[in-house]
Amino acid sequence: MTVASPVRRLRRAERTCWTVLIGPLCAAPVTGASVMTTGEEPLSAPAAVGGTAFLAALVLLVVFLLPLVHEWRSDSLSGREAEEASHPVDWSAKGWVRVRDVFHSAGLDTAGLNAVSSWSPASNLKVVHVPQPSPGRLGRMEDWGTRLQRRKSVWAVGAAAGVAFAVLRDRMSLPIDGDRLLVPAIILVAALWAAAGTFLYHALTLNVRRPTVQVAIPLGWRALLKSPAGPVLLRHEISHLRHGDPMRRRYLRHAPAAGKAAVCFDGVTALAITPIERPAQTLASMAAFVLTLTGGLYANSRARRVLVTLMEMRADAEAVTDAESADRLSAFLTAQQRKNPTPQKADRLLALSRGCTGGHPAPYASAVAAAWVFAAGVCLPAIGIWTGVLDGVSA
Amino acid sequence: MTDMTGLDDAAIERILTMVDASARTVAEDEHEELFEEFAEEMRAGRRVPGAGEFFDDLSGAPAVDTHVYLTIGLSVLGQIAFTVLSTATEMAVQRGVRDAVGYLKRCLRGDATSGGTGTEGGENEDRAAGLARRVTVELRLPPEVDPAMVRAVVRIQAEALIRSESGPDSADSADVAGPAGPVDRADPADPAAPGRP
Repeated sequence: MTVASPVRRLRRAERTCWTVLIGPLCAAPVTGASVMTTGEEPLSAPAAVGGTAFLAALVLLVVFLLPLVHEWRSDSLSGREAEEASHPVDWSAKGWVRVRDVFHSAGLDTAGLNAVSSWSPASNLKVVHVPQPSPGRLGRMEDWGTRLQRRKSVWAVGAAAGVAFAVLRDRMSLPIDGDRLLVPAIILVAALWAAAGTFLYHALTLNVRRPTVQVAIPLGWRALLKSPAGPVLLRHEISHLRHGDPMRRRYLRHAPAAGKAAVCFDGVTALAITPIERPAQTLASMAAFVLTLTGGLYANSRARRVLVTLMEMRADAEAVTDAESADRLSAFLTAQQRKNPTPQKADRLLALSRGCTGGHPAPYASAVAAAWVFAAGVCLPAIGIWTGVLDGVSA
Repeated sequence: MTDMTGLDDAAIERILTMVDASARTVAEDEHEELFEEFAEEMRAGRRVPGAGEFFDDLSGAPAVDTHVYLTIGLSVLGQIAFTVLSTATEMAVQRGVRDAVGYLKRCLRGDATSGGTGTEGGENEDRAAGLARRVTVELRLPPEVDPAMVRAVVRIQAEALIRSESGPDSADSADVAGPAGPVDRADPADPAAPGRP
């Protein structure tokens, strides 16, 4: 049980950080509804909540999902065009026996593992998500779209055309009646939406429901596993694989932006419904707004950074099976820290030294505290509206 | 020869000789485990394995994960060997030396003259230390790589190449690498040898 305890605490800490990141987005329908159900033309509660929820979904799409899908497409092409190919690992070969044994000892069946080897000189073990393109012609169209987007000349021409249109449109006249273009335009827009929907469907199916996640093992590891820290480090990577960390890291690149947008939205709606009839009230409302916004944005940034460290700590905790392996991992991290000091390695070394006893392994207390400040600043006014204590948007 | 792909047979064998010699000293385990596969892949692909661009997903996993750089491996040794050979070929032309091997002999002689201290700077970089510096810059080796190790690798590879090209008779003329050893006999065929125009 002593091994499971820090892992459980770390996973709970990870869930807390994810809550801090996406909590403001979930709160947006309630805070938005607080504003929309008051004022001169109030909406009904279901309409207000539904409207804000729709807005939140739109923000999620624009700020999170679309950039993620764009990244998948770009990485998919990069993965297929890379100069260095990777080769599937033949687990039955003599050279891979040691590696296979470590996987089995970590409870992972190599038969079901998508492992590839390469001559990567950097000796980094990686768990890599390789995005898959849509099948057939759609996939080829995606590739061409990605290639075009990578060309700076395309962006330059597009920007120049946009500026020219904006400047000259009043002086331009179409050779045909604009009304006759309406139907073709509608058909074109509908076709584009259908194509976009199909791309999105394939992107989500191939990269969320059935992601291609590879364990990339540089060949040098067959020799490096002979070193004392080798098996521990390999088990660390296996932990990332087991918990789907590559995909979570992708989400982590984009989810905070949606969270930050929601923090601003929630903060402004809270300000809108706090009373500002007297100077003292105005001052208090502005101070609460600044505090709420600062707390929310800080919690978002801190949670994003800490989540990565938490994933590493959890992988360390799962890699360590006894005191000897803990010592080896500590010794390895200490040597790496000496060459290239980072706060993350320092946190990991501290967590390893504390082991299973005492002290919280997660360095996220400040993120949680800031999140509580944000929650108070946003939820208290909303509660005031729904309980009738506050009147709502002032004239 | 600046591209590590499309290598001809002669270049491949030279690089393998250099990698073989240096790996026996600085990467014993990897040499024992993987050298045959490395050689096979190099002859089949006519390129230095691991020298090209790798797919790296943007999720940032490698950037924050445990950075495992324990030692120079066969791929890096191959890239060093390629760079040493291409630089030596280029410098041989510039210095009017017969070929890359001749230039490497000159570098090793220069090292022996300076006592193998590998002192930096100076206008005349015809030393193994100067060559090692160029290799480090051109390959953009990570900071974890010890510069002293790169110098040692360059020296070992240069000696191995000289030995293999010149044959056993010139083994003595290649032995200039001793840190306090005397300067060797000049190669009579080397137009850049002391005393020759």
